[in-house]
Parts: sequence; structure tokens; C-alpha cells
Amino acid sequence: MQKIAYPKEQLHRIAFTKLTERQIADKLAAARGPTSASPLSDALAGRQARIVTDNGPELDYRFTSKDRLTLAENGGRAVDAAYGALTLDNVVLLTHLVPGTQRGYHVVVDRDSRLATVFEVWFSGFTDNREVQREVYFGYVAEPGKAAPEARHALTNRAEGKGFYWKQDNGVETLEFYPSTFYSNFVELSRLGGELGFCAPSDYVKIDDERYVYSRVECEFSGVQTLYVFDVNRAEQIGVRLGFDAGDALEYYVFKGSGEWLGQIAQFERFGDTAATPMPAPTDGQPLAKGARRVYRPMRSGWQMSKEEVAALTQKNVFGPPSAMAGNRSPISDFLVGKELTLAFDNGVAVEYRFDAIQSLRWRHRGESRWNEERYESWESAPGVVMFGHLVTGAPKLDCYKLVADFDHGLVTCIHGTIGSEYIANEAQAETWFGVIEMAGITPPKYRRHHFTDELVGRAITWNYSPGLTSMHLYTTPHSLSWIIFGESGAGGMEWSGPASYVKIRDELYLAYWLEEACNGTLGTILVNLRTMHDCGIGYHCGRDGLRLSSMGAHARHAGRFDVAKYYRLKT
Amino acid sequence: MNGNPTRRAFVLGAALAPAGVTAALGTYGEGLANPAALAAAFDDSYAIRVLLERYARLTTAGAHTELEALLADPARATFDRSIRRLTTDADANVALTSDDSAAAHVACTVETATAIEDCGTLVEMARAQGEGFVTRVERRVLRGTFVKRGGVWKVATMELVA
Repeated sequence: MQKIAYPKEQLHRIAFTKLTERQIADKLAAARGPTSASPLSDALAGRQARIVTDNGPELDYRFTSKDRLTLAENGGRAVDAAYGALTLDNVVLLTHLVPGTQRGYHVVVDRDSRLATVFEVWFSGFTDNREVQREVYFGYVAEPGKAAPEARHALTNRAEGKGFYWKQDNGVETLEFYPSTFYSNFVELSRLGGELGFCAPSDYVKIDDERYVYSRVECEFSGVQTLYVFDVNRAEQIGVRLGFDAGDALEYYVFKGSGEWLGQIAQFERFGDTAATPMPAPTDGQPLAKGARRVYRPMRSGWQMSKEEVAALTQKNVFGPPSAMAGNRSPISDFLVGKELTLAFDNGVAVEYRFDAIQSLRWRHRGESRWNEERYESWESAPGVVMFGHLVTGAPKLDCYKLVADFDHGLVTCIHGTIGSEYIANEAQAETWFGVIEMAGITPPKYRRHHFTDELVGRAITWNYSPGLTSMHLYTTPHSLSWIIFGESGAGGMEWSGPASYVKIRDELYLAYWLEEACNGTLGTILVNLRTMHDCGIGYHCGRDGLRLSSMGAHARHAGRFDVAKYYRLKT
Repeated sequence: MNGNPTRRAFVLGAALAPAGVTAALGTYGEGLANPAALAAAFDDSYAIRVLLERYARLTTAGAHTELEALLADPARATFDRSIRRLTTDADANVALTSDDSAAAHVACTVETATAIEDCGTLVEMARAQGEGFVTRVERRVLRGTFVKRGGVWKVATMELVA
């Protein structure tokens, strides 16, 4: 019996239906309110509440039972609706849709302070109708005879850097990381088998120093929203999930959950900066549009090419002038110059090399007579460990080899890159080959090889490529990697992720690659040296400007580590 | 934009002929013995200082339309759009070179933001969040020449120099 439910397609490969407004309206009309695996709270039953928000709606609620309410918005006509509520100590989360509309509210109230955070949510507000839109309002519960409190909940960076394992009352298990002030990273352990981490634009609201509201919308995927209140100390949550799943069924439920604290990685804002990263105002002076948020939408930039376009490509840029990604690259090495050797891999591929000059090599597969000339670059990351790469002229899929050879131990690993996946014709793919170095003076091992490792998993490392260009890698799972762009304040900002793989070369020396699948198709490969805190690497990309093999290089800083490796191990 | 990073010309227009300036200086200098002329010179110096300050403020605001109104020849105006902030750090040193021409310079701090060339996903994402620039803060000298047109001082040339 299979114990892990892997999906047929991962999130970034699912062709989510472009639901129409009519389809969404029909599905919402059929909903009877949020479901719940746990009993709904009756904390609000029989009560009334007027919630006043700053620059937002005034909501007059009358809770007729634990699952029915009436709502009058801004003094308008009251409507009946189903709702669900859960409590986490003094905090109440209630959620409902507004009948006859594609809107709804998720309301978080701190009953002690009377402060409230209101998420107004709606469908059909973007090109992709199924993507939940949201606007966040802060306010309070008005009580007759009492002055309005001056304080408010607020967007915050105080949740930045935290990570949790969560298990909901319905059995859903996730790992969730908050390395940004407006994005987050989630690993669906139970829904998707925990192979990959994915990223979504997110909101973080501070209730107090222990409790926060987190909300993400899976933009560019299903468009589902997951919102919860969580207690940092106790790792407990109450939440709501709203949206349409891969089968277009409405997911609308509330949940309780508990979890484990995974750790805290570094923040890079100035000391004393506890603010959020506000959405920048439009340059034309207009106010922000309702629901405005920063969303990375890589599949809408038109980078994808047809097979015919790829086949017609003639332009190649092999280690041309360094880009901003190579501003801090290491010097090119002459270690290989003059060497003659064979790299013999366990899959039967053996490649003979003659390194004629510092940027010129010849290669041929064993058994061939004709040599192929290629331009290459190499870097000696640690004594005796050289990374180099080159195109494989004549190969059927615009192939490249990116290699790390350890001459002290006679070992080599090749990341074999090719162009074209079953989804996108100009998207890079990769496979990893392990093998040995055969050359005069080296007797390679018969059994020992470089090997895949999870030693990097959970780590966060910043990479400064050149002035103004710094990102952070978060090695979220053994098979995926996330990258976070910093804002001007040093706060984590835009984030995205892709499939990845990690190979241990030596202690504190790792070969990593990541695929920017459904992103821009690049295969990035870096040799991470955690002693020099410097990497060397090679980018491989196919676009309308041709096939490109380019150097990369950045200075690193440790940003901390989440304790997550145990969640990925296979259990009996 | 001037290719020399230490010499940033950000207004080009209606430049005075150096020979004409030199010739006018003597005549104007003799007139300063006259109290009325001296008062006028103070007024002119003050007006030019105000003009410089206004120029710096509008540059920081990116208010190019308003900046053009300060120029003697708006048609030839070019602006360095990498400048995010320009603040003067001292009183301007003003030299009146004739009744209707002057030169001035003032120490200043300039913050520039230069877009990083597109080189893949990271830059795309940085731009998507409104960033993707290399910012620099440098001490410079804001140096300009001025002409009086219809009784109003206008900027003839302006540049940032090391």
C-alpha cells in the first residue's frame, strides 16, 4: 500500500481550468458555508458585533446561531449567511461569504483588545477568475459607551524568518516558511508528497508578539487562499481555506491545527525596523487599487518558445561578457590547462578531454575518433576541486555538461543539461551522473562516489552577485530550492522556487542545481563552498536570444537553518 | 548623460559664451561701488541661491516639468533620471559675472539609482517589486551658470562634478 500520495502533476504543472465568472458564481451559490473537521465555536452565537475599519467597511453582525449570521455592510440591508467560527484563546476567526455575490469576509477579532483584522475576499477580480483577491482592513469592535481603541493590528515583519510544521484537524500536513515580508513558501507534505516547495504572495499581520495572522493566495497555481491565526509559542493555529482545487471543486473549510516550530532564520532589516514592507504607491500618484499586491507571474511574460522556434535557434552565447550574476565570480582557473583525462560515469558515458588552453577544450565520447572543440570556463573552488562546463556540440537537445571534478579523490559529478521538457520546449532539464576521473597519476575508487545529500536542506544562505543584486536561497526540500529577493530595507521580498538537487562533494562543499521550471526555464548550477562562503556556477538558458552558458559567482552569508530534514525521510 | 561618472551634466542648454562672460565681468564689477547696484547684487545672489535650492528639490522630486520652467532654454533640457535625491550641503557660492549672468556652485550629496541590466530571473523579480537598481550616495559639487531673462534668473547650465 503506497504510503505517500504523490500527485500526477505538481502544482506548477497542473493546467488549472480557467473558470468563468458564471461557473464560480454557481459553485459559490451551492456552498452551504464553511465545513469543519472540528466542532465550530459557539462563542459568537446569540451575540451582535459592529466592526468598524479604517478606510474600509463597517460590518454589523448578528450571530443567530453558531453557523448562521446576518450582516449589514455600511448600514445597508442585512443579509443572511452561513458562517463558521473557531477560537484560539481570546482570538476569534469567523468566515462567511456574502450570498448572491462572489465576495466574503474572514474576520479576526481579539476579544480582549477589541481589535479586528478584516480580510475582504472575492473572486473574478483578476484575469484568472479563480484566484482569490483580498483587501486587508484594520479596525475594532465598537461597543456602546466605549471609546474606540487607538491601537490597531498591523502588517508586520515580525513573523519574517519563522517556519512551522503544521498538521490540520483534517489530516493535512504542511511545512510553511516565512522568509519574506510579503511572500511565503509551503511544502504540501500530505497533499503533494512533500517533494517540492512552492511560493505564494502572503500577508502577515501582528496581533501581538505571540499571535499573527498569515494569509497566502496560491497565485499562478490554483488561486486558493489559506489564512490562519497562529500562536508562535504553542504552535497552534485556527484557519480557513477558500478556493477551487485542481478538480475545480470548492474548498471552503475552517480548520484547527497544531505543529512544531522549525526555527528562525535571519532578518536583514536595520536593527529597530519592525515595519512591514508596504506596497509601493503607483508612480502616477493614484491611490493603490483595491486588492493590489506584488505577485511574481513568470508564466505571463511570454518567454516560452515552440519546438520549431527552438529548432531554428542558431545563436549561442558561451561564457560571453559576465553579467550582473557574475559580479563576484572567482577568477578563471588554469588548473585544467594541458591535462588529458577521461571522465567515466556509472551510466556508461565516458568523455575524453584535452584541455588545450584556459578557455578552450576538446572532447569526444569514448570510442569516437573526432574531437569536438568547445569554449569552457573553470574555477578551482577548493584545492583540487574544479568546476567547469561547456556545450555539447552536435548533441540532440542543445546539451551541456556542467562538471565538478575532485582530483584529490578521483571523483567527478556531471549535471547533464538539456533543453526541452514535456511541457515547454525551451525549458532546461537536468540529470546527475556520478563517476570517476581516469588520468595518469590517479587511481580512482571503484565504489566510492559523490552522493546526493540532505545536508543543505533547511539552510538559508544569502548570495550577493554584484552591487544591488542579492538573493537568499532557502533549501526547502531535498528536491527543491527557493530564492528570495531582498527589498531596499533588507526585508525579504519576492520569492519563487523550483526543483533542485544537492550533491556532497566534500565537507562544506556542495554541488547544487535548480530548475526554473515554469519560470524562465534556466538551469542554475552552483558549487557552494561553505568555508570560503563563495560559490562558482554556470547558468544555462534557452531563449529567443539564443542558447546561453554563462558564469555566476556570489559571496555568501549564513542566514540560519530550519530543522526539517526529518520530515522528508521515508518511514516504516 | 555624460559618460564620465564623476562629471554628471544634467541640464544642457543656452550655455553662455565664455568670452562674453569675461567681458561683462569688468563692467559689472565697477558698478558694485554703487549702493543700489550692491543691493541689486545681493538680491541677485539670493535669487540664485533660491534657484539652486529649488533646482535640487525638484530634481529629488523628479518633477521634470517644473524643472524645465527654471531653465533658460527648456527645449534643450536633458535630465539624468538616475538621480533619486539631490541635497545641498552648504550655502552656494555665487559669482555675478554681469548684470544678467552668473555662476554658482555648492557642495551637495547625490543619490543615484542605476538599473541593473536584465540578466535573468533575479533581476526580473527585483523589478517586479519595484527595485533592481544599484544605488550610490556620493558627495559632489552642483555647478551651474545662470542668465537673467525679463528680470528673472534662469538656469543656463547645470552639472554635478566631483
